[in-house]
Order: sequence, then structure tokens, then C-alpha cells
Amino acid sequence: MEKHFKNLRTRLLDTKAVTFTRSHKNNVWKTVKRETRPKKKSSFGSVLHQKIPALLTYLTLLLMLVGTGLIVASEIGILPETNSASVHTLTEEDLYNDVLHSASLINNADDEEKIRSIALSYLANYDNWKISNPKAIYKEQPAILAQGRITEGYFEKMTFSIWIEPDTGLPLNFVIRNQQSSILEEFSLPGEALAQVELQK
Amino acid sequence: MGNKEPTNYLDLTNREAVLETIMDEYGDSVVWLAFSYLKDKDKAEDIAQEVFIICYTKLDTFNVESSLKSWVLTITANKCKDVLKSWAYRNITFAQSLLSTFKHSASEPDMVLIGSEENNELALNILKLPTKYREVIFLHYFEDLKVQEISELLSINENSVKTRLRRARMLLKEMY
Repeated sequence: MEKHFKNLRTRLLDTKAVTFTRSHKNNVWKTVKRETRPKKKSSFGSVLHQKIPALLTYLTLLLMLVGTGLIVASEIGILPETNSASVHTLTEEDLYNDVLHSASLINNADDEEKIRSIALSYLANYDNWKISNPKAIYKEQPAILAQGRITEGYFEKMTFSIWIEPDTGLPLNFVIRNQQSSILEEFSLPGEALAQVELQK
Repeated sequence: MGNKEPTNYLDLTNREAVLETIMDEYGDSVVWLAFSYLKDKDKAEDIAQEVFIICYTKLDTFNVESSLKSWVLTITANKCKDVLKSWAYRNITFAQSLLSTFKHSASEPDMVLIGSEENNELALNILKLPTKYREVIFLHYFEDLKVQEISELLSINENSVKTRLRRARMLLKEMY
């Protein structure tokens, strides 16, 4: 049997069943050179492209952390309670319109006329007055307090204050004061009128 | 191990020179050892190229005290065994064996032999041996490695190498 294995290498190479040629060597060199070539510095775009998944992960984690923090803070009472319903961005123009239109809610023609004239005479010019306190209290009920000055007519140079019911725009009380803060004129909507409006709601 | 061990004259820090030398010296050894495992010409040539690329990139891990040829052949043997174990290779081989069942009655290595009839027959018979016998025959008679060197290369004891060689010779004898 040994005769078969004598010069086995030479005998098998003679068959040329498989060979390692110059072409194979060149392929090896090409791969080696490609893999050992110094890599180009990544451009900002490609770096960003590679980093986007990581950035998104960090951002998501950050949002989750902030959210959790806010929930915890809210639960233990660190954060002040914010009632979205009470966030009021009422402007002077809105208030003027509310008051003017509230006149139609009153059944008494005299009171209706007075409310309309208050709106037109004292609130129509927004430069002369402002909302002083949107969360004021008038006779233990919520009200919007507006204050201004009178620039013409009989009460020129006097000031006025008006407490308005937030929901209806009805003037609960209106007063004109002189420079010594003495009340010169006052209008209060009668309780019956307010009760009637309340019933209509 | 042969009388021209390249580590005697090579500067191992010059990786390009080492690669050029081992491809010249061991190109045929590597491709034939791969062929003995895989019995597929194209696959063997691909594996041979991969082995030399691995040698180039892993040259730092080579123990200068040992034989460069043994190191290269060990990488080749391990690479081939990985391929044989791989799911993809086993499935491709299975598909090919199914095809060959329809095409031919016997599933012989698909190759073109242009040597003498006697040499071609020897090659075919060796390739018919089971893998564990083929590898020792190749390493001992083709690569001229000693039993101890084969034992180290294949991580099996020397007696196993001897037993396998004896059994391989018996199987080949039965073929003639």
C-alpha cells in the first residue's frame, strides 16, 4: 500500500484537481490592501447618520425621565397645581364685548340700558382702562376687576372700577370715584336680575 | 517539518513579506488540505484565500517558537471544519447530494482530473475516505508531517493518529 503514498504530493498535484494560482494570490492582496487602507475620516453627515439611532435613544430616555420626574413632582406636590380651565387669556376687547352683550340677558329695560351705556361710555376705549385682577372676588363670588380713568364728560379726570361676572359678562358693580377716592356714582345690578339670569343659564 | 522553515529567515514584523512567502510556500498545501475536507474545488480555493487573509491579520498571534507551516495548516483545518459544521454548507451539500442522486448513481467529487490515470484514481480513492482518515493521510503523506505534529495540529493523541493512519491504509487497500 505504501507505494501508493510514495510521492503523494507530486502525484496529487499532477491531477490538478485544485490549484492555488497567481489569480488567487492577487485576490488575497486586494482584500488585504482594502482592509488595511487607512479609513477616511467620516464626514459630519455620515457621523450624524451613524449617531442618529443613539441620539434618538438618548432623547427618548430623556423625555421618559423628564415625564417621570414631572409625574412624581406632581404627585408629591412639588409642582403648583395648574388648572387649565382657569388659564384665562381674556383681553380688554373680550371683556368689553362680554359686558355689551350681557345687557341682552337682563329683562329690565332700565338696567339693560345702563349696562349698555357703561360698556359704550367707559369700556369702548381700551386705552383708558385695563383688567386689574382677573381673579377678584366681589361679595364672595369670583369676578373680574377692571379699572380705568374717565377722559371726558361730566366725570372727566375721575376713575372707575367695575366688577364683572366671568361667565356672563354682567357688571356686578360699577363705581366712579373722585381723586380723593370718594364714590361719586355707583351701579349695582339688583339681586333679582342676577337670579333671573342665573335661572336662564 | 522540512528543511526550509521560513521563520529562520523571515522578518515576522514585515507582514507583507510573510504573506508573500507563505502563499508561495504553502499555497498548494492549503488549497489541497481544504479540498481534502470539502471535496469542492471552488470552495477549497475560496477557503485558501480566506486562510491567507487570516494569517496576515492574525500574524501577531503566531508563536515564533512553533512552525509557521503547522500554524497555517491548523488555521486551514479549523476553517474547513467550521465550514463543514455550518448550517448553510450542510444544507447546500444535502441539496447537491439530492441532485446527484437523480443525475448519477454514485456521488463522487465533482472535479476535472488531468493527471495520469493512476494518479487520478488515487486522488478519487483518497477522497472517498471518511474525513477523519482523509485528513491524517493528507497531513502525513501529502504534507509530510510526523505523527506527533499531526497530533498537535488536530489536537488528538498520537495513538489516535496512528490508528487512523492504519485504518485509512486498510480502507484504501480494499479499494484496489
